[in-house]
Amino acid sequence: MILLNTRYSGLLKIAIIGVSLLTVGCAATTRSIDPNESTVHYDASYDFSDKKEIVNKLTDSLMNTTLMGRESAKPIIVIYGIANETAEHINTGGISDDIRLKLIQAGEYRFVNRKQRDNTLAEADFQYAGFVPPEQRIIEGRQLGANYILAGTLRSIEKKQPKQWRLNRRKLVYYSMNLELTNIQTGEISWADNVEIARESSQPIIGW
Amino acid sequence: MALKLRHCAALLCAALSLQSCATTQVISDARHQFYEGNPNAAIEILNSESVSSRDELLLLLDKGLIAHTAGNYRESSLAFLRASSLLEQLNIVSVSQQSKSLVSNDWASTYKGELSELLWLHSFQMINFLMLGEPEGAAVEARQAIKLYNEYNDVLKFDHFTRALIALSLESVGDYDGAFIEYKKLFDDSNESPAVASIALTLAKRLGRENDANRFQKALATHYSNDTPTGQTGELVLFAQTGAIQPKEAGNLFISDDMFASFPIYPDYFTPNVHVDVTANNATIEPVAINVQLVDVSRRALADRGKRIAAKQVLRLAAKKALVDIAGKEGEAWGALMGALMVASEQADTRSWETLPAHFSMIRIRLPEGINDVRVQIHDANQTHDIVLHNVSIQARQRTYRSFRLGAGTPTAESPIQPAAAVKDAVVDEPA
Repeated sequence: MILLNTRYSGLLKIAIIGVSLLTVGCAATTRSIDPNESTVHYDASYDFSDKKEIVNKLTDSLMNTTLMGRESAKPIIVIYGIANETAEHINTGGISDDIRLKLIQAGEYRFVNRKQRDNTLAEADFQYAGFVPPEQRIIEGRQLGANYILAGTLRSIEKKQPKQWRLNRRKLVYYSMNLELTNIQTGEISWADNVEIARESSQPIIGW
Repeated sequence: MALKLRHCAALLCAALSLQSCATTQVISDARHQFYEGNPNAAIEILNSESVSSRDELLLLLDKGLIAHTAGNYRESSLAFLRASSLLEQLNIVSVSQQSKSLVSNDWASTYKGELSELLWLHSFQMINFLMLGEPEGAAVEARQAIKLYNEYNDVLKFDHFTRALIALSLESVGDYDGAFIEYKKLFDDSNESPAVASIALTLAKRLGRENDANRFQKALATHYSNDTPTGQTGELVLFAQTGAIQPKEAGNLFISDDMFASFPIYPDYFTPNVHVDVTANNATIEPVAINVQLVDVSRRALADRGKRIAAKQVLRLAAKKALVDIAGKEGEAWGALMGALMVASEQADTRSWETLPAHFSMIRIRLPEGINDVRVQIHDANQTHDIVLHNVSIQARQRTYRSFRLGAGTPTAESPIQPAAAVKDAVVDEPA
């Protein structure tokens, strides 16, 4: 028995080390990353760092526009959303929400909440239906009227490497995000800007 | 040498034992429930157990389709999104799986779907998003389907239904130029179909494409009477799936007494395409129906990868023959054992998305504003499927969608589909 142990102890150690290494290699891990610093892209498709880049560039541009100097009061904006014209399911509501948040925090613009319009109407109707004492009811006809519509479009163009003998599949994706501010009274586009992002990814064709 | 041979035999047995030449039991059970008319029971089965990673795509495709049939468009959409994501990951040639399948069969490989099935994943998604009132999602799926058409047009151009669905999805988000391009391609691919012409004509006039409008008008002239309802109108769009697609079968090619190749085929039975009749408010109207017989496209998709299947078969036969020869040199018994293993392992990979219907139809009916009674009859080779819709509310310049499964796979009364609200989307042009 002792002889057997001696003979196999080396093998046993190697096996234990091997299994340990495999186990460590396969262990699930989780770590927090700073969304302000991370620019990790796992593939060429749209991700949260793209959203940050788009939001920051467009918000800076909008805050530096000469529009501010022309207005005596803070402009009132209604957001009509960003159309997704890409081939990916991208929630563009996240982009417009973040732009609105930054502009509100900067204090240069005022916003009317279009998404809550049906709810505010329903709430007003409820208050005037006899359930709420008259002195506690909101006064009708005091909603803000927007001066500008903020709307935009996200587009993408994808180009794949032609079929040929190769070990990697390469893909080039170009995103273009346009945003514009339209004067509701005149119909004039008072401000417009865009952000472009181009990225190439490579994926191996052969794997284990 | 005998030791090496034992290793070879053991490896082969292991390869065979690691896979079974049948679709995972969970999927078979769910399909059985689906075709018994119990989509909700089928979903429960698919949700309750996991399947081999080799069949995961099939599970997600079946789940998406069954949830769609049950009227649960959100769940269906999520399953198909997972299937799309999985397909991205499967876009790689696995050395281990290819090696295993080289000495056994293609059941050892992960199922990656036929081209046609990848397209229909997007078709279902477009319908899901339209039914959910999210035309932007439908347009995203439409753009993904366009990529497939662009890459594999020779195979997929025969699916007129999906091309029409792409155009409809783009139209619903106001991308009229994009929709018009698709209608034009469809018009050409469908040998100038009057049904396509009737849809495209309105758009051509709107976009000021006079030459195209004249072409469409010419194709229409002999087929359609100008009997669209007067006054304010809207449109009812029905998506109908009828019957069940033929499953793949094994085709065998005998090379010698002890060697044969087995490969998947779609049997070439002739079945006529469907024909649609529509009655609205007790008056017969000329329907605009665009249909596809799915097996026709699947057969072409399978044939498209026929060269790759054949090349792999040749390699597999060579590998198996070599193993049998080596075994034969060690003795007759070894040779016979190896030969038997080779024959036993030679089985065609007949996996496919078997819950698909036999036909897809898109039926577009222009109706007067207000409450309408509509009856649609879809005639296929074996039977007539009746859709009777009472009190269909149509709003002027709005589009209303409904989706149905008829024949095989129709939910029974005990397992009713969730009521699908009529969903309205973008403004519809009045016919010019």
